Amino acid sequence: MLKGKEKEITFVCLSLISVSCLFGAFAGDLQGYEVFRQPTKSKWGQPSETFIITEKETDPYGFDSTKSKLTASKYKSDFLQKILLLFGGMVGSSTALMLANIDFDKLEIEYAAKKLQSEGLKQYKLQELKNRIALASLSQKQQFKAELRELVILCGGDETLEADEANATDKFTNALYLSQDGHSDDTVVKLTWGLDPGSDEFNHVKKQFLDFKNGDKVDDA
Amino acid sequence: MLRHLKNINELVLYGSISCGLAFFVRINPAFFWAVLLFRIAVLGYSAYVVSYLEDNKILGIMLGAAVFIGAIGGNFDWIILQLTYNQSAILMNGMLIFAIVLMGGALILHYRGGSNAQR
Repeated sequence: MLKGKEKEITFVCLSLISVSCLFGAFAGDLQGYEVFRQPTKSKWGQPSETFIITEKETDPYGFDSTKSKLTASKYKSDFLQKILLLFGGMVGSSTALMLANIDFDKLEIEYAAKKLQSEGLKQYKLQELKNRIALASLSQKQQFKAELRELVILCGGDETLEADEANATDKFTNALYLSQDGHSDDTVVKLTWGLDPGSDEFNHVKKQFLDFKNGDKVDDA
Repeated sequence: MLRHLKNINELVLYGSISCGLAFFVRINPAFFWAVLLFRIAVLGYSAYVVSYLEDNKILGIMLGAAVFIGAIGGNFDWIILQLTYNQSAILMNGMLIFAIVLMGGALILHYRGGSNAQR
């Protein structure tokens, strides 16, 4: 039997054939007919009335056979062609549906997987672009900071401002702030480091803090 | 795409059945009312499915469309179209509209937008 791509192609061809058969069945005439024109003058000035008479319609409303005139006729109908086209459309569509019921779900899943893959690639590229833009903005920020620092030096400022800013979260600085507020050295060390007064560690840290307070820089404890 | 083709195939199947019913009624006019009632019932069912139910909405839409296709394809013949509409006037007007649209589009593309735009 048919497999994969061949099946797909036959499915598409069958559906096209069935659609064209159905719309082809609309054309043509189902029955033979005779067209009569009956010369009358209505209230609105219509010049004549037209009657299309098939075999089954024996006496349409308002038709007068003595006044009317035969203008066109067709006695050979396209009945067989129309029925055959309808039948072809029915058979084509039903075979296409039977084909589709077997394993078109697999193809749909493959298509979905391909779509997901391409979507993932798109997302990856977008993320890469975002990262690049973030890096660029960071470098611009650094450049701006450097320029600002040079400007500060030019205007007579101190270059070591940056160091203070970096150490703002240091424990020694916090303790210094506390002591400047008016607390004694013992309470300051106890509050910031959480040590018991009297222990060796406490004394060591207190000595370091006093050195820091008197102006000497101390590394991290 | 394949899913839509499958739906179109179902629509063609139902529509051809409906069209065949319409042909049958035209050859045997005694069945007119029965088939009309059947059509109304199917249309009502499709309206109920589309408006109230949550599943199978596509089936309801297809049933309604099939009834519509059958009513059009079964009852309009080529002679009726020829008698009711002036074919030469339709052709003339269509060609005129097509030409006007083409010329207008070309002018618009010439003056704004497009690769050969004049600014």
